[in-house]
Amino acid sequence: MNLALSDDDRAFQDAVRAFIAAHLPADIAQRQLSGGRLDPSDIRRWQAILNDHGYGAIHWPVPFGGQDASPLRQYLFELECALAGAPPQLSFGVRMLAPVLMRFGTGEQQRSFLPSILTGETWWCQGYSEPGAGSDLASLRTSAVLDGDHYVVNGQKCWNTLGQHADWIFCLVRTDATSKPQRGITMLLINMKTPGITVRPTVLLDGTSEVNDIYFDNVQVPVSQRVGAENEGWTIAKFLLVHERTNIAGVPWSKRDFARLLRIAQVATRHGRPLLDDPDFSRRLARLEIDLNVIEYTNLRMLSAASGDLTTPSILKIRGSEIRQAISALTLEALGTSALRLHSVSGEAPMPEDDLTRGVAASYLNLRKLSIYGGSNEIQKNIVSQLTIGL
Amino acid sequence: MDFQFTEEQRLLVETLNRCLTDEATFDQRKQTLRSADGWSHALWSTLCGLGVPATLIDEVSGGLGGSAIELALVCQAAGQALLLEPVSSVLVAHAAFSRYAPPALRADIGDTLIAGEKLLVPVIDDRHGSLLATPAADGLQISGQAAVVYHAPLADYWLVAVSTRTGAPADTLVIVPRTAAGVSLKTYQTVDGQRAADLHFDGVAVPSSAIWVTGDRAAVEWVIDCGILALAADTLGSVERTLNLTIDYLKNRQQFGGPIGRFQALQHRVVVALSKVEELRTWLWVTAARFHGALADRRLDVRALHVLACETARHVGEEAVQLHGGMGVTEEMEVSHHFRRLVAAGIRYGSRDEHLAAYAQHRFARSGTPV
Repeated sequence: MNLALSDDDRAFQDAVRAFIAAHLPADIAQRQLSGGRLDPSDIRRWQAILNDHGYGAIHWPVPFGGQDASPLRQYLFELECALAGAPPQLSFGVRMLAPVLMRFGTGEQQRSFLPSILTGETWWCQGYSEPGAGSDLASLRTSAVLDGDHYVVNGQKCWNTLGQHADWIFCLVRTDATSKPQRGITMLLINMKTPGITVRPTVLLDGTSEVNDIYFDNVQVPVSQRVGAENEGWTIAKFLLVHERTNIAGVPWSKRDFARLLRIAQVATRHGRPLLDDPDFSRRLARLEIDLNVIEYTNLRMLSAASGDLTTPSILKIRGSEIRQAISALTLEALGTSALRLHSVSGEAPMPEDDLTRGVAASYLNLRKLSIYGGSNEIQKNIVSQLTIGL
Repeated sequence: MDFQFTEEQRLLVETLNRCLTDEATFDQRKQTLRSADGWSHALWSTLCGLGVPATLIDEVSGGLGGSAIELALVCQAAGQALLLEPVSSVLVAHAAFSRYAPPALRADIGDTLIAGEKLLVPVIDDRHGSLLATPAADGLQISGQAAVVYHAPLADYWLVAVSTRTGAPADTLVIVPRTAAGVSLKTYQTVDGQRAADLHFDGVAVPSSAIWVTGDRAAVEWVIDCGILALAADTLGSVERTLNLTIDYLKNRQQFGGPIGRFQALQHRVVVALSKVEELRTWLWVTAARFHGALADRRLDVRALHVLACETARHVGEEAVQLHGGMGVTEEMEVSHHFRRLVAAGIRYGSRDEHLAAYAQHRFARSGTPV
């Protein structure tokens, strides 16, 4: 057992740091670190810069333009990016669809779609959930009927993240309504400009629209845009979820948020003293930091193991989300009522970027999603229970 | 970054667990609990035959030179098997022996410690801390008390931590024979079935040859940290076993026409407990792996470990009893013995709150410059 980074991994980390220091645009970092709102153009710009320097998708195989980076290096990369204030990479293309296309896609699909994921030119979104299919995804009903050389798609997707900016969507649709729910599902790639698609943003707690309803009304999708075989979509969806585990605990983002909480605790005061010197507060902070360090190393243990315990990803999902939510809640408390200023009313000066309260309430509200999406924490508990008690 | 155990470490655990499964059964433990001595000399001999006492003695003194990882591995096995024998106390004292004992003493008693013929256990009562050493003709003179010292009655020697200034924390380590003049002890069985004692020292003479370190608070802290690590490892072993017992019970106990493990309310409680066990496992091995090096601040690692171990001990123990229903509170069930071991673990070596406060103080109080 040796928890030091190897010389090679240390060198990789140093190179990533140097690259970020030289190339992360200051305005993007400022927005990210000061709780500013996610700007789609920041994500596209950063992806292009990453790609220009060989970091576009480090976990991809070399022939596709990646570095074949180990899970540990992926973690180190995401950690350095998060701490420096880089925006998150859009996972829908880079992390979710790309591995699926590499495994199940045709050569033509790989050639058409992978390069523009790497450059950030194509913005992908995901069409999974439906009003009647949330945690119970297999009950989805959006239908695709084969008609010559294309499918005709009808139905409604919801909880579609950032689809209002998207160029393409990968969608699970029902191609066989008669067999067992999991059997009749197919994955289609659909251009968002196809006639018959309507995107309707959903206004959320924090006043933003991070998610959308998407309506499909006789949308024609060429058969060549089907991934894998017809009715093989459930297998593909499960494969995709397995490939989305490296950062399932969200540790890099929690560490970034915790660093901000520490800065706030040094500046904010209680009874005329810095909050950090308040014994009660500093103990809560300490307890949270312990949780954060433990989940980081639980994650690293999983990443370094050749074959992990199947319950670990679910535990990381549950605890990682709880911890990140707890950090945002403690940040809210640290600021007290001054955190309640959500955003400026039009006509007044916008909240300055160095205002420590900026985005704190919005972030707390926004992060409620963590324990709900990606298989709610209760579903994760069912999974762990199935693997251990098995009843 | 490597989280794997070495081949030798895996072998150590396998050998030990095989032996304990055969020779430290729950039925035997119940007999030992009722015996006059309260621990099994036969089982101790078997453990000595496996080289357990040699594990933490340095190689120069003839031992196996184990690290914090070996300490934790052995204590984890001891916790799983609910051992009443003084494994963790002896290994902690041996770790201190390897690091701080003077050469003459190593030559004198090293072999008997390695063989397990003589028992050395720590007497570190850092909470009540009223053992005071004053200069004497040849060495020191010790007076004061130490409360609830595990395995003190069955040891031949005590590794005693004492203060050299009234009201100051212990900063000196000395070795005292249990039979030394001026020593008296009140012996009892603890909640978790172990033998312990309150010790009273009345002008006990300690020759200079018996002084290991003096005026060195860091040395005492190092031994305390070894003790916390050993206790956390014992706790991990115990909660692992407790969780398995509970899962088996949920699969087998029939109510309302089927096993009670099919109820989601119970399932989710198991998952929360399992998650805490997984987190304790992570941090135990992180702390052990970094214990001797400069990778991290050992004091922070150990404080965090104790906080986690106390919380996990209490949580998993209480949940296991609850999930066993009425059976959980009976002497007959193994889980109730683990529960009592875990109750003790959640209290020994200072409370969770004290250690959390120490962590916060150490981490944040140097105002303005958190890392």
